[in-house]
Amino acid sequence: MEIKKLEFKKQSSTALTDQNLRKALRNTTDRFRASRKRAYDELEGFEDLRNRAREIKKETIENLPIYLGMLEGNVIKTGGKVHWAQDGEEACRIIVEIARENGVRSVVKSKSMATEEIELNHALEEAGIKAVETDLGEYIIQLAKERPSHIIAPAIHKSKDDISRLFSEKLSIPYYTEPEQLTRVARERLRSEFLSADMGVSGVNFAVAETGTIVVVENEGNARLSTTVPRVHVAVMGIEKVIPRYGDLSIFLPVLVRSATGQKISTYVSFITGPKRKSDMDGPEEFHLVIVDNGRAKILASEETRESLYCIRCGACLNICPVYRQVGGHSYGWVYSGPIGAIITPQLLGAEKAPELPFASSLCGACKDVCPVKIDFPKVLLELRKRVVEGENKDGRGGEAGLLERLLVRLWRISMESKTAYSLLSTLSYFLQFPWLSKNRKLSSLPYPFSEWTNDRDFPAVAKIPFRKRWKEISKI
Amino acid sequence: MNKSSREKILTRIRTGLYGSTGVHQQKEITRKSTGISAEPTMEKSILVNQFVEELTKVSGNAKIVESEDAVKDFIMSFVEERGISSFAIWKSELIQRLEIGDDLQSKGLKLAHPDKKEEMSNAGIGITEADFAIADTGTIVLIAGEKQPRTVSLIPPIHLAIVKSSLILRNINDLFAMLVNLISEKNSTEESTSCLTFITGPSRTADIELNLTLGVHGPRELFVLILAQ
Ligand code: SF4
Repeated sequence: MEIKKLEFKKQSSTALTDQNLRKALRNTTDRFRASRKRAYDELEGFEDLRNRAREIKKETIENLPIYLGMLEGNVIKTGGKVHWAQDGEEACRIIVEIARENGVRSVVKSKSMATEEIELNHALEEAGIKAVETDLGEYIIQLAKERPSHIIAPAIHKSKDDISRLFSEKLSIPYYTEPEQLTRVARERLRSEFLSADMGVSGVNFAVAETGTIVVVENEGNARLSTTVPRVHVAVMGIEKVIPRYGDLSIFLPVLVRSATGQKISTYVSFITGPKRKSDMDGPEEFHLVIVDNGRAKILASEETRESLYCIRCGACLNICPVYRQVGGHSYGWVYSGPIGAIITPQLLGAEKAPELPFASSLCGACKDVCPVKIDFPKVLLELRKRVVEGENKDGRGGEAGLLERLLVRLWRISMESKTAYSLLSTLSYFLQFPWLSKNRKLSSLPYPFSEWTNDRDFPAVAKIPFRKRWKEISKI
Repeated sequence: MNKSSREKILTRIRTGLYGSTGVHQQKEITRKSTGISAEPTMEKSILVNQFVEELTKVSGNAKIVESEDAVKDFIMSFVEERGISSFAIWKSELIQRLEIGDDLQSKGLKLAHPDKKEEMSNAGIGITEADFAIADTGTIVLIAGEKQPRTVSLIPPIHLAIVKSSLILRNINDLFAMLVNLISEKNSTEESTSCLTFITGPSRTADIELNLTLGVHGPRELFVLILAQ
């Protein structure tokens, strides 16, 4: 499962030429944003809830070993089993092992970013076990052999026509054009999978330390089916999903759902505590909780970026991000996209795997404003940028921020710090610009390195009379 | 269980958080969570109306019935109207007292057993009784147990739930104030429930160009009969 270096620049440039994708992105993110805004405005005290949610996350992360220990103890007490996985490979090995012990031939999965991250489907298939995604969006993506492009709506990059074509090809059905028809087909196909699967795999939105309860939030009912009908239920969570108390859910549930889809509450919320009790007539006989590190623990070492682990995966920062809205989720190269992808991916995979991602932001801070747990994105992004640049200084390579960039920045600094240097440089550039000046007094194609700028946009001409001088004259009047 | 991975992860977390010694002054863990407030209940009729309104907004059907007999009458004529031939049902105290299951069977409907997947997948309706409801969101709360199997509200295409009006709470905070006590009493005992579920409207998806479609995996229709008390 070796992950190659992610190429944000390259992939986003391709995405930018895809007009259909950009239209789809605009439509979806606009609607999500409007719904979130409505949900935010209508709930009095939303701001307090966000502050409280952030506080609880901070408290949890700072006492993580204690809460994870409590969670483990309570899951075991209620008859469940707990497994710890240092990385994705180990997590997959554990889950395949559970499947083998139970003679599992097929697995139904409900949406889970953690299992996307560890590439569980791949591991199950290699072990000869069929794995079926059951969330409609994930089902579409699985048929198309793609990756989700949004945390909440994994298939938003696909148009209805794309899906009609995909279904008719892969499922050998007529070319249905209505979402109702397509949804009905998926329901029928997946129903038989639910009834025959021996194991269900789910993600975890919150894991309550105090009771050993895992909470799964959804709208379709596929998570309920996956965690109820098969004989074995395996839930997969990152170490940061734990919360201290049952009562904390009265804060996290509204905050998550309203930020994600703008609903007051999702259609279903399941609070699962252990396997079925002896006297229960249905529910899984075995419950396994797999707690995955996969690079998270090392994030804790930096106080600057620790808060990246507060994320509750609502997707609000994606919808608001001017970069995500243009380039879409796949440009980010891995499972997490948008602002959260830009900060979490380099930390989970290592800066050298994703050196461009911390720069995939205009630092406008809109993500910080919508984030239900108020992650300070600009701060974290700057810290990660620093690491990329300094990392290269250390081993003497001149990668992303190469010699030239550093030279230019130094020049800029000198000219900004000294009045003489500044006026000298601006006068100089006024005369130097003439060969490139277009008729409409714009600089449209400068030589390298300035071409990096002018390839995509014009640069205004340097004025003859500097502003300093004009200001003096204006202020005389 | 892989003990060494557990230790390695926890050590990594401790070192990250508390430095190389990994020693941390353990904070006392409080059970209390702010944000929970159970205030005196409001006028019931206001809550009932609000519940109906909210449930209707999310495409659910709510009906207020004035007596226990009316609950039964509604169900009997409903299954007839829809031509339903098989059903699954909870055995809550009210449902048993009203003998709804027996009467449906004597009407010729087949009873589906929750431990038999095949029977369940042919059932036309699932009948339950909510343990609580939330007015502010139009939510019903079902607590699974011996007589209250999980699949009854999940597998059949229609879910009909009865809820006593006295169990409708104001909002999620009031509910959690109740649940926290309930849960802590029974925590980690055989009596604790394996699954508590919030249900707010019929199953839905918006995964195809954000078009809202009902009944994707769970029930396509949800009826809630509010028994006025
Ligand atoms: S970072 Fe914040 S806004 Fe973005 S997905 Fe996570 S919780 Fe939501």
